[in-house]
Amino acid sequence: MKIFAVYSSKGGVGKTAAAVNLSYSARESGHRVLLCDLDAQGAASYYFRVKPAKNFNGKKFLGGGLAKFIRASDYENLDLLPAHFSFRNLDLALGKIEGVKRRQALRKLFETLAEDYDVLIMDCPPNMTLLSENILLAADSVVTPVIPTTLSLVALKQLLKMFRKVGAKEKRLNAFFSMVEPRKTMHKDMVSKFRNYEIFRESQISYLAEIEKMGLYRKPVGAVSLSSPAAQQYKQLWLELWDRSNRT
Amino acid sequence: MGGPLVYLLSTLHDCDQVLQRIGDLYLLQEAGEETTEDSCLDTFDWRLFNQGIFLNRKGIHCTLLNSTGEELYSGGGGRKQNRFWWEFPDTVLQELLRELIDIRALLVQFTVSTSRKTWAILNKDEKTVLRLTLVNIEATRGHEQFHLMPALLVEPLKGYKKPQKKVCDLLEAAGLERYADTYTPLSELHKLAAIDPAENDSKFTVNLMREASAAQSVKDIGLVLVAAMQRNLQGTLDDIDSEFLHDLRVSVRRSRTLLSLMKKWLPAEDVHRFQAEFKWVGTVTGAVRDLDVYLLKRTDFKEILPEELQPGLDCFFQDLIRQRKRKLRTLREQLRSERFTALLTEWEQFLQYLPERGIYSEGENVCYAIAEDVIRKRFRRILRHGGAITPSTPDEKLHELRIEGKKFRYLLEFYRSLFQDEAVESYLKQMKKLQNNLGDFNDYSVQKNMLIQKLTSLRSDAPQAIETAAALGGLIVHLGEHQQLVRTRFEKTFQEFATEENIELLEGICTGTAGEAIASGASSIESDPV
Repeated sequence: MKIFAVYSSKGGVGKTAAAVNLSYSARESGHRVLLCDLDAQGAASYYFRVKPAKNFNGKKFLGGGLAKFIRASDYENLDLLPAHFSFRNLDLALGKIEGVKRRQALRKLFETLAEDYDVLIMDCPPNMTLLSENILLAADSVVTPVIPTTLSLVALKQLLKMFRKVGAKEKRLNAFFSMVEPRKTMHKDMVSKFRNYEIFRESQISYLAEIEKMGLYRKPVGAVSLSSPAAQQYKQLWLELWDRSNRT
Repeated sequence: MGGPLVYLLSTLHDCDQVLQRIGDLYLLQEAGEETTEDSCLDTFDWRLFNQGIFLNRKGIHCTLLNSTGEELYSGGGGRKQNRFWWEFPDTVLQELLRELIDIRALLVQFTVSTSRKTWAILNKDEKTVLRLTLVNIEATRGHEQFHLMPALLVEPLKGYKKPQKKVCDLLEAAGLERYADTYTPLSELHKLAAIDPAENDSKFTVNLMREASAAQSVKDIGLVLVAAMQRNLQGTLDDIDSEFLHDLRVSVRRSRTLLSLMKKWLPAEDVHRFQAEFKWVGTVTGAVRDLDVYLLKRTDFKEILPEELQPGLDCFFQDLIRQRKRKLRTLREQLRSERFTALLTEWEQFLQYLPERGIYSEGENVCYAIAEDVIRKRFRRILRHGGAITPSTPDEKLHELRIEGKKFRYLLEFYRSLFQDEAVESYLKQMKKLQNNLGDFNDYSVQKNMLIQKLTSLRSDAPQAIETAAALGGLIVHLGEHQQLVRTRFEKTFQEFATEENIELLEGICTGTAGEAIASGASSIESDPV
């Protein structure tokens, strides 16, 4: 099982859209996929119309036995571990775990699912906490959307710093330009300046109305139209990420 | 998540009404409709089905599934209607089929048209929480048509147990019964078409009554063998695969053994007549079978030889194929002849009326006592003859022992339902080791002699004469060496067979001390073909 974390400390960069659509693209490629919604806001769960079971909460999540809280999406080979409001306190719960286990807790939890899925994708909350450190250590690939603006690049620098702090290997970091608007000069300049950096992937996700409309349809873009530009771009990104995860 | 739950809809159930009731509880959304046409392929003896495997062909696309619906293979099957595993273009499928069907040919057993209509059951968030699929299957087999009872498949979704329970309760309240076993449309088609997939198996099975007369036992055994001959006749004539002829010949050989072993208790004149006729069948079917044996060994023979000598074999095999064509024509004529048709009819009639014929009082003896006596005598004979074989004994004696062993095995198989099944089974296993040794010896000897004969009759001006001669020479040396190896192993194999334990085991089978013989009634038994 390959674990992907869609992460950025900055909000509104297209993390959830990426997690949802990459999950859909991965199952289209024939993988058995689990999307793990770690963001207490539950936007990914909302897109899939999945609500958590009544007896589910953050404590139970960290307590193991994740499997029984997983729910099927409307799409074959794509399941979801829905977010719960109590996930906002996952940091506090992780903090209570003793010593070295603390940073590895998430990785251990996911090991139990290795037989059932080929791909696990985490939609992560936008912060820099113990949970974020756990995420970085659990993931085989950290996927980070970057809007071609200065603030987003600041967030990327902070992420690199955190990578070094927790001892995660930088080659597992995969940045991609998100919500790109080529007509904006700033976007154009930023992309051309940074696109050749080692950590940036070639595929980009444009600022497209179809992606915004996901909230309306409550479906991944590929489920609305597989041939739409947005679906094609996520497919391209997925193939690139999958290919790279098998090389590193 | 397990597979779907299946409910069968008889004519008493109105599907629309059932759906309407579900629609009162949940949002029902049509989620697609499709009709597919495909061919269900299997061997004559349903080897795939009997191993829980299904092979479907749709155009050039082939799918191999196991009983849980898992795809073992999905891909191109080539444009040709491939019959044997080696005729499929993809090596992955070739290897899978090789294990499953060996040398048997695949036939289109059913042409199946499946229509599926699916509904998604949605909750108030319009999330799918359950799927329902109505499956209608129509199938044809030859000129016959079959229509399966429509099936409603309830496909549960992970994490949504409640809707599943609610809908199942509703279906059961509407009088639908859940299908208890794993639902496979092919099993249902077997029931409708009155096909028993175990019936075409070449294993010999008969149930005998302990107190039955000798004549009755010959009738029961003989009729099973007649049925096997009839079952394999058409496939032999159509030349579907080599096993039809092989199984036909085995039933004939078994019938001859039955006559020869039981002749004391049967009308002598009829025994002679049928023995002569079955011998004739053995002879007229022999030539094609001999050629089949070589042709089936084509790959093995090729692998024996170093690469440089292999091309010479092609000529040899091309010649065998030509010969087989000619011999098959003759075989077909014989099997369609009045003589053969009359033999089957008269033999069947003879068996049918055998127990009622009053003139032969010998036939009224109880078969259990006779079987016990014959088994013991035959066994002693094998021990005597086998024990007398030394390294200097001529090869013919080993061939004779092989034939005796074969007859003895047939005898045990005919009458094993009278004795304790497990003891007979365990004994047959011991016998198999001895017979394998003798069989290998015989095979090497026959093959070597045939190749020598071929070599001596090879004309020097024949195309590729030198290459063929070299290849044949290589094979003859190899077969000769192996024959010698098997021969040196004979004594040890025989000693292991003629142990005190084995002698006691057989005595126990006869006297019933190897376990209680089945006191009355019958038991189901099976045994390997030759």
